[in-house]
Amino acid sequence: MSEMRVLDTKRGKPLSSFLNVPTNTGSEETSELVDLLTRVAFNLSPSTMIQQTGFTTVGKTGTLEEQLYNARAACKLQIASVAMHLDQDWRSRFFAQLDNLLDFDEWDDKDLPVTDTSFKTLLRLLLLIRAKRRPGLGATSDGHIIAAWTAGANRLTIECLPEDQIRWIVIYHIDGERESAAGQTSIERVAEVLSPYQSKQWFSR
Amino acid sequence: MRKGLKLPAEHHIVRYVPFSKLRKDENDKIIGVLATAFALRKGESALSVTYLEYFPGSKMEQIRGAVWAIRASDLGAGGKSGFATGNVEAVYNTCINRNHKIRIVYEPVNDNKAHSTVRRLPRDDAELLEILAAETWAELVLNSDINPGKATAPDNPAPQT
Repeated sequence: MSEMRVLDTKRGKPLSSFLNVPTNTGSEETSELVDLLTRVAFNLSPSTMIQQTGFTTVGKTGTLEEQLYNARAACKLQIASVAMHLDQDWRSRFFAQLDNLLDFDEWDDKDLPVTDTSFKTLLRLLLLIRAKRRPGLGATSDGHIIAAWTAGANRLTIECLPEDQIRWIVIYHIDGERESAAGQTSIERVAEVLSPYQSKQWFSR
Repeated sequence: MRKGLKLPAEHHIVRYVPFSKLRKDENDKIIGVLATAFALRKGESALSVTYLEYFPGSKMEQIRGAVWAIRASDLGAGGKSGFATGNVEAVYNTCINRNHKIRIVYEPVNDNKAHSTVRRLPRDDAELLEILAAETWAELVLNSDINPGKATAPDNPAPQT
């Protein structure tokens, strides 16, 4: 496994040491996140962080286990950069979902890990629609993250593409009849394209 | 059974579904299958499945036989994965209703003698795959629900009564 901890390259210390935050919680994930959040506190851009920490666009380097580790870290970095907009409980449960999704022991080795460009679209979508209910997470074979909301037999599935583009599919039952619809659009138009399907059923508690 | 034969309409096929392609709720409780579980990868010409009635016994015994065969194959199976079962005729009909004429044929491979394939599945019909996942090919068994163990599929299918 490659070194993922964020270091001050001049001193070779974790940057978190400059912020007086505990890293000895016994949790590797906590230490990792503290370092990542420290980066955010230092106001470094994700691209700089990715460059400096060795995070790469996933699917290109290292073993599959390393790629999945990198993908998890890159996703959490992005979440950390917008942490102020997300409820802490929501965020920690979302982290757990990501850990489960990108678990090496469960991953089909013919599939590409989730890409940071796809995850960026998901995060921007979630911030835009302000869903109270988190989506269930999944992934396509080519590295696109999937957000799925289910309300009884009614299903909304959104595949996140790079550059704020999504593919959406709805299965919707009305008066005992099943309707289905699908399309591709940008995240800005999600509310509009889903409006005929009472999208609150998926997003509200 | 000869390679390339169409599977009987009343029989069933089982698709291995990794955790990443299972439908979950917001707390990661598994509630079904995602359409992407039935999507062809780039370069794939057919969808791999396991022929349920290849195995002897009751339906539960057949499912266990199929799961054990998949576990024993090169595919393996993650602890949180699942297996989606669909009826051959129902899968055909769902595809026909959306103007796709698929073929489901027996195609044994070295590591799974019960291996079969779904051919001519479209790459550009997301709604079809969603309907399959929601209704037609949606009978889900979790890997954790099947007794521990694995066994390669026998060289010959169970006799059909």
